[in-house]
Amino acid sequence: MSQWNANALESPRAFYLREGSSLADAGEKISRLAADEFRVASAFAFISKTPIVFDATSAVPLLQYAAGKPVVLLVADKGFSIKTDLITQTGLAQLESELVIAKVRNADLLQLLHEDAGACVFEPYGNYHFVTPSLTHTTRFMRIGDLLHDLETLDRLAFWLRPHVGKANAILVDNWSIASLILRALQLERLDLPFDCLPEHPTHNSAGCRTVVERLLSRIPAAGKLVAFVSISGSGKLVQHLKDLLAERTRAGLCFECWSIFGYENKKARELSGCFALVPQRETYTNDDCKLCAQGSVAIPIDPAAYHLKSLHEPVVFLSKPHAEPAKPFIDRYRDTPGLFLVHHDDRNDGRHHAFDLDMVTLISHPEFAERLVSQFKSLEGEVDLVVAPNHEPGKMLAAEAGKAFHCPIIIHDTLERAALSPADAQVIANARKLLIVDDVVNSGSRLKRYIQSLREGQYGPFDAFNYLVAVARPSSPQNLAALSKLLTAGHTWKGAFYSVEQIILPTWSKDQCPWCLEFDFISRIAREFSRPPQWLSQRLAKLRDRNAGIADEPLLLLPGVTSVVMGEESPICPGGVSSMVATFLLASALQSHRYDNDPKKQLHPGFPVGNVMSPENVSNRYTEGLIRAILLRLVRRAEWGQAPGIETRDFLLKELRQANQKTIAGELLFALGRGALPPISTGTFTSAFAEFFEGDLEVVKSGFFKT
Amino acid sequence: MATKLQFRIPEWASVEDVAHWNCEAGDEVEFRVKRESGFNLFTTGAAISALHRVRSKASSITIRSEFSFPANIRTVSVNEWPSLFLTLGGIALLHAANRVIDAAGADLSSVAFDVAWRQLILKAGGIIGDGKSQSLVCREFDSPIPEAVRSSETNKIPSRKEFESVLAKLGGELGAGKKFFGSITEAGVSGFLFEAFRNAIEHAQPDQEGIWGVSIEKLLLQVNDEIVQRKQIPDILRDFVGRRFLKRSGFWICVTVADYGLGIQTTLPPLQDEAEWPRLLRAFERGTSRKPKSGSPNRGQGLPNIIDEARRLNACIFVNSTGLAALYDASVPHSAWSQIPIPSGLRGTSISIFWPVTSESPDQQTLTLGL
Repeated sequence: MSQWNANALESPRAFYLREGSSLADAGEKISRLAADEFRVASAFAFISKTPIVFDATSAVPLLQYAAGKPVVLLVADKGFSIKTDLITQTGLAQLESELVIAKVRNADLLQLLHEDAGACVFEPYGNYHFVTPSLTHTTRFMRIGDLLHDLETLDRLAFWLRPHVGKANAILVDNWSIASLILRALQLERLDLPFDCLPEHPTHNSAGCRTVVERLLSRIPAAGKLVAFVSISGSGKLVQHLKDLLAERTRAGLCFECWSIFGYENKKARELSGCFALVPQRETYTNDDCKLCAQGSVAIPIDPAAYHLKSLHEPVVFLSKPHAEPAKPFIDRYRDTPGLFLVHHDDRNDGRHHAFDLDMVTLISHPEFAERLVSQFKSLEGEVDLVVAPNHEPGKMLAAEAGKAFHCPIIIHDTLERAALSPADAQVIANARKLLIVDDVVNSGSRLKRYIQSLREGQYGPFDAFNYLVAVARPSSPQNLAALSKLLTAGHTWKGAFYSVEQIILPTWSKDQCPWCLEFDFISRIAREFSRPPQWLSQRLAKLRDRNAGIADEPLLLLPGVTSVVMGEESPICPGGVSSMVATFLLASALQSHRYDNDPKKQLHPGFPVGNVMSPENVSNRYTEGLIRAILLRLVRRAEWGQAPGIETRDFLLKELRQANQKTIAGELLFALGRGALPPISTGTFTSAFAEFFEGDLEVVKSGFFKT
Repeated sequence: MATKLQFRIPEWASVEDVAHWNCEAGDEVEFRVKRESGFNLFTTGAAISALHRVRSKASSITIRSEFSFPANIRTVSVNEWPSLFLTLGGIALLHAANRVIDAAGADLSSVAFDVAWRQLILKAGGIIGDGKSQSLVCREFDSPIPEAVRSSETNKIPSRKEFESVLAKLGGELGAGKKFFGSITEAGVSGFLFEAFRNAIEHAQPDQEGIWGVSIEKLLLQVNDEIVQRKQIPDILRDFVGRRFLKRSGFWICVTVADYGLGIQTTLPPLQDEAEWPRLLRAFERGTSRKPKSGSPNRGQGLPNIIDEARRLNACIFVNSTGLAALYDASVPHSAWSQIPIPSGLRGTSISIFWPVTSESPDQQTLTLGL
């Protein structure tokens, strides 16, 4: 007869019993065990989510197969608990659950890893190593999501989660790759709890993680319990981040519990969270002091959102002169026009926010523009007997010029809806045959669509000619411009064409993507750390806060002691002598053309299926002028820098920052790192890179920079 | 030549008191405060505007307190902090001052606001207060939207629901009950306050840093006689309180949204030959909007809605908008706006709504508020 001794659970062999199994099935499992496996097992444990009826007839052979080693049974019980019993010849003897559960769970999960034959364990051959999402350099990476490939494994893992999900008010998971496991555990327990996963590792996206945590907290009672599951705990940084986040949001009575499915045998990580199973420690180094890197080993970053080797395949592309060509004529004509180029501006007519905007009153008043407008009107002679313009200042200015050119009636109206027009104006439209609509700017053509719809619904026409002339066409891609021309004529009987006095391709970024809105978020985070923000911060914040005025002078973040510069001569992409604002518009246009390059191999497109990211050479060899580098840091988006190339770009620019002629990039590098456009840095790197700019304020700036 | 000016802040400073806070360019201004110093109902907004004016002209602003700050100032808790500096007006004063000297002669210039901001306000997500008043503190330019009303790190304008939940929380801290702002009528009021809050965010003036925000103050009255004696009640409110006190309990709430922006009428496009006062009143007419044409039928509904909600609550509204002040007593039949004379020269907007919180739901008189 088996004798119970807790020490016997040091290396138990665990088995998962399917629904409807009996003790006879359990016996059979031991009998089929290979001799080596039998020998190393100190005990046998059977796990079942449904009750197992004790049957003495089956128990006797089961215990005989066990050959004196203890046999324990773990069964899902009421109240989300797990009942633990020792199987004897005469019945079941209840055991102290906690210890048994911990030991069997550890054995079962390690067994799962063993059965998986290491498919979820990545150990690179050759001179490579990994950088985990917590920025730990290591020789081994485990992706727990790869364990979840069949329902039985899912159920087997979900079994261990039940005591914890059952007592939770909300569940947070560290990444989406193991979401199915937690959702299965909830499904098995018939629980409908608030649930969410972190979008990325908090080291890379603390703001996103904060949003998720806060959203969950808002859905649970004040004294509720939030349970977090982490796929694998290594350095403990993720759990520490979560704890810090919750500490900021301390609510009386809120209970937080964190469990790692797997954990390395790391004392600190184990202190921070409970751990279901421990795997042997691996070789690890910090980001700043990696022996593997020092030996020339290539660091392969693990994607902080998907937790896999997503970034291994990252073809790189180069921003080149042809990308800037389409914008050059516009820039050359108006580069010295004060107040024309605006960033971070709310449109006074429609209230929409524009990352890039042009002051149309300034442009229309420009003599060269006026000349070009007149010549456009000349090309339309005989084609116009009515001019329509939207009801805003630039629209009225254009309409006045058109009136002079065509000597015909003018209607100022935003929609041309029949119900909104005066009877006299409606009659004027009804009498017209050759319509010209003049507008200041066209992006997507929504106003044009509205006009066309109103004219059709109002049953005007038929028109012989329908032309649309805008002061500036600023589509987000050349393809958009073609679509606009098509919109005007496709499906209509009238002859028509789309004319623009000027053209420039620019991103149509709204508030969420506007780099200056992101800058406001970033530097206000730093400023809040000061009781009295220093002047460089408050002056910049004042500008960013005033979206009605927008920014018309310096688009870049300049750190203390750094002054605004103009473009030097002989740049391959940007004309010499232009201001940082004009250079920003030119590069914004060039990058946008790069994003829509007709050749997919040259296209800057980090997404599927192209996958191209910015080559680090763009900033290291091609464009060495500080101003261009600074502007690229502002305009290139997070995914566009890529993972491994992003690290290379970051490290190169951090080194360059030491050069006296590269101080212009300091503010933009700080901002790119702070908003996560470039991969994160450690506090040590921050100090060595930026100490010279902040002097006595360094610690406060650093505290805001690293604030989660 | 620079003049030295001194202003004393009494126990319940009134709009008239703070309207005198003024100086010439380069003057040195000193505020004398005592432990009991504070602001009466409806005065917070005027105080914020007046401080903004002083700050834009004075060469120095000193706070000289007639009491000692806690010795353990760096680790102080809200309970130990002087009550004046737990109010929105008090925080604005502390922010405006570049010198703070206490009764013991200690120079607290570098620590007083630092402690209030970093130790007390930021840690509470932008909220400060005690059992008498609670405030949501906004600071230009780095914290226009305090963390308590934000759902994420960004400076995105909060949703009305997020704003409402903060109002309910602040009211709860004052003892207004768990269901404060839970009724449909009170939700209507919060909708209006949210509109005012949003306007303040959108109309921030980039010319000067400063403090603005939302303040909820409590008035407790035991007996009718107190109405005449209590200096917390401004004179223009005494009739209203007296009339409403007869029927209702003695627990009153005043919610104020106060900024130092341009003022309501100034941001509204004028009609031909329209004077300031009718232009201010027009802002409360349905369909009036200063916002661009967006096609939304909800434009211009924010301010007019308050009249309906105030009538349902039998509340009193006080508006102080760049040189104009107006009172609307919704508890009387045929109520209308009346202009309140105030000293000129104050810029900014404050909108206050004041009403008795009863144990009966404003929606349905038979429901309880869970007080």
